Amino acid sequence: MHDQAQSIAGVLLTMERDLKQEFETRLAETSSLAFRIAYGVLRNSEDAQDVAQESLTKAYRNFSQVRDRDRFRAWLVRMTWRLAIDRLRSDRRRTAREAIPLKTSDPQTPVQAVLEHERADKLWRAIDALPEKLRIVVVLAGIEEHNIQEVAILLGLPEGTVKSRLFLARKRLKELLQ
Amino acid sequence: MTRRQASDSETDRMLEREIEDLLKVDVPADFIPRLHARIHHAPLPSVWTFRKMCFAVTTAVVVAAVLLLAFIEPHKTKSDTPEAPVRVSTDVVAPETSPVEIVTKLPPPVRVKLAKEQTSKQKLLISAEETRAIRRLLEGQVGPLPANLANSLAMPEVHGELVVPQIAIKPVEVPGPITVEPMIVGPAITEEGV
Repeated sequence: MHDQAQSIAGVLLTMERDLKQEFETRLAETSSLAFRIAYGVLRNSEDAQDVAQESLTKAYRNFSQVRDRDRFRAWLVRMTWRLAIDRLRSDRRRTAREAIPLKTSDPQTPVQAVLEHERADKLWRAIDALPEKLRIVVVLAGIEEHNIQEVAILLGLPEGTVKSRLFLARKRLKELLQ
Repeated sequence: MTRRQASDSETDRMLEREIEDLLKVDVPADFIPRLHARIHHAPLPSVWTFRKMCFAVTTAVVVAAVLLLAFIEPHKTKSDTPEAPVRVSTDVVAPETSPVEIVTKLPPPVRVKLAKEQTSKQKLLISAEETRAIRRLLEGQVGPLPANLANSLAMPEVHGELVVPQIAIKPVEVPGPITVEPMIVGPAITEEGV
């Protein structure tokens, strides 16, 4: 009886160690994804870090239920998006966030820097103006060069739906940017 | 592909690149250490709960098994010792004065053995007269009913028509008109009474 209890405890410990190792692997794969999704909504590094950490902590707590790689990524994407949207709605520091200088590519002249800043600001505003369904598709397609199939897996949607939403989103963005 | 379509796809590609540049933010260096610290302080993940649950289930199973064994063992020792067969007799015992045999073509009755004390006190279930009557019935020797029983079962004869007397309801006479006089209320009496 004692041996059996020991063997059960040993199996449980091994399971736990495996689970932790697996989570570390997933963390290495997806931490930047979670951060970028949060940043895509919040546009503030500190807030994005907070949200990404929150969603990854939740993922850690529920990891035994979402061990599969694809399921984990999809779960994390949706969780991070939802948390970021919630944070955005409840956050009172929105004006302060918008005042933070936006990251642009290396400008050659000050004029070019200003132009790039203005363009980025305009693009962010256009993205913010999109409905949530279209916005998440645009953000996911813009992160880590996800293709339509990958976005469809992440959102749990058919590829056709993602394709049409992306087309519609780009069309609206072009209209808003003109 | 027309010139317009080509320009559209060019604009799309530019837009894509712009969005990618916007979202190409580097994860801060302290993000992962901070995350590890947060996870370290976070409530235990579900694997711990699972482990506890497994432990609890295993313990419960072991306890149940031990209890079961402890319960079964004494019964097992009892059953090992040879017991006096229990015998239940279905034989019909009639009084000595009128021995009756019931012969049936059914398979031999199952004999469940009772304790010795019970076999000695066999109870009389059917009287000899009833046994005889049942036997006659089974053999088809059913004769006419006794005269007194036949009379009691026979329907009574009806002589003549049934006459129902008429019932008349007379109105009740009222002695005179009823008058209701108004009630005179006296002066109000307060709690003080004066």
